[in-house]
Amino acid sequence: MNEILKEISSRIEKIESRNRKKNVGEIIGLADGVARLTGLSEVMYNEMVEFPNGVFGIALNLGEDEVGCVLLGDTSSIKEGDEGKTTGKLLSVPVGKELLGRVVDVLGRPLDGKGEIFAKEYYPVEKIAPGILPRKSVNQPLQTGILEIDAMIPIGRGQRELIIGDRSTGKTAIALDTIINQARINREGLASGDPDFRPVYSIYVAIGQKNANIARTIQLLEANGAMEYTIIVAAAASENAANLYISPYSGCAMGEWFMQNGMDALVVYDDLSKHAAAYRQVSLLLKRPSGREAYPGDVFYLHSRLLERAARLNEENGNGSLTALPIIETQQGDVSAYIPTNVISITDGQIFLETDLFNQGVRPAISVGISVSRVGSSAQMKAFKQVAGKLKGEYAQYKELAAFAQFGSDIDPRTKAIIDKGDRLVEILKQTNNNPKSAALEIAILWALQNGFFGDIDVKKISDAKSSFESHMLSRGDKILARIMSEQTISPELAEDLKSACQDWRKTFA
Amino acid sequence: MNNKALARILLKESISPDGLVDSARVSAACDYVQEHVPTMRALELLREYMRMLKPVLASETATIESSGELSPEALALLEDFVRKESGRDLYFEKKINPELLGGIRITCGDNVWENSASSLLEDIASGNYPS
Repeated sequence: MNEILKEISSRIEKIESRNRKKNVGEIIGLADGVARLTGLSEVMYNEMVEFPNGVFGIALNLGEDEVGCVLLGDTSSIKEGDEGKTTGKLLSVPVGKELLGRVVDVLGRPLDGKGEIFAKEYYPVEKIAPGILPRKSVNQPLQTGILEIDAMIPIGRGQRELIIGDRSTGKTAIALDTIINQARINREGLASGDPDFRPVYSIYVAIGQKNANIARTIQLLEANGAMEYTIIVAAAASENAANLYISPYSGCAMGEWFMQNGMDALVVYDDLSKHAAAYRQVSLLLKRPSGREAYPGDVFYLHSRLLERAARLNEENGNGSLTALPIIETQQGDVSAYIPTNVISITDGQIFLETDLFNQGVRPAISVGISVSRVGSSAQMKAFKQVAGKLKGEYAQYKELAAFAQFGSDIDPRTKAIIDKGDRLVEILKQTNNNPKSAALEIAILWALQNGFFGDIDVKKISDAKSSFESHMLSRGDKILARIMSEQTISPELAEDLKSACQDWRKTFA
Repeated sequence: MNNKALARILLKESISPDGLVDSARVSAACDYVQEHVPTMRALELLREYMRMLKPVLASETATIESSGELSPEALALLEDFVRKESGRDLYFEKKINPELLGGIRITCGDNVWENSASSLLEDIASGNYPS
């Protein structure tokens, strides 16, 4: 018996001694959050390197004589000559439902003062995206609560839809409205007790934003009761470039946990332009050769490997999904710049926001003509298709005719009808911030528009009419709205009920 | 040929067939540089050569640190262990380091095997591995 125990203890000792082995290096250069080290001959690419005072870095450049490491967190305590040691681990972040309602940094450490996060699991921030076999095509809608998007540029769960536009055109507002709408749907769905209901959890990644803006976002989500279903990963502008570079991958890892565990999640990257700029800074500091606009050669891979991780998994793999809404800021509407073209080609469509529309008061300032959703229509509810199927075409026709009509007053009756309907459509599609609508209400509004119930109302009063219609439907037409959601299609009987509800409403609205 | 490439050749030539750096070969390499390379460049080249030689020399010497005196048997066991781990013959140095508070630390180039009370305390104190 002694011999057996000796054998086991010697094996334990061997393993323990192996575990106590570390590979060390010495910092020979330190600047702008990047450390150069000699030694570390056994370090692996993307491996975490531990420095004194609990600072961690990631080995990104493995040279013949030295190793380049980007440092995460506060690097002020690190100096030349300090020791860095390998950890044998890839950079990982805590994941799971314990993070919901919390604001964390890129390493998943709490920033909100609500105490420690006791996560049961950790996921590596860099992970290979699901392959072809575990995937499934997008077949379930993700309602943004924004009428224009849900009707004409529908998004499905597992889709990657880019939100692109100049500064101050409402990109973040669209993403936040979507998060708020998911929270509203989650509350209603969970309260209904429907066993088939699938909540959508949100992850908002703030990349290189001002702390004041991040604080405002948190307040907004809290005020709308969305924080309990949301994780915020904050990498503020004041943090070093390495943190900004890692932040979307951390957020993605947190979202992936929901997907891998058969749940649905939405991740917003706000924004990838700043992320690309942070990566450019890191690359230049690591002395990597630069290419177009001084970005490194692998900047496409930077975003493609991130966005490919958003997927819809099939039933054998849990049926979960991760929807991604990356945001890109353009300069003076130039979508042909390097980063915008890259991300446009990676994603499954884009929502393009225009400054001119925004200044004209068309909000959300979506340019319908060049906005597209490549896969979302297959996930759109049938009732939506019935009322919004032709909407994009009609809108495009209206835009074309309206441009000509402003040069002369002689318009034939058919053209005038198209323009009149278009004017009303534009007004109907206007929507204020933080006011997402339920899918049933959106369908009812569009049905009323398509069936001429807004036709004889003055264009200037359309907005009031829409508000009045909404309150009428929410108070008196709630059963019809519930039927739209349960039947998912507008049957002749439902159309009759909608018609009588609209007629009732018109009696109240002069 | 640049200094780096030349220094690499010198380094290669400094290693004897048994895989260890030979001091006679090193001084011969230095003599060659001084005789055949212009002074300004020789200075740079020797500096580069020294920089490359340092980690190689460090990896040939294993320093065994302990908080107290080790018995010859224990030392021999540790030497065997390091030889097996590094897969080569090595020079050994031993050192008493009270800061370890107990246990041992073996350093061989950039590899460190440590099983000391101080390292365990450090691990407990930091306790912030993200995974």
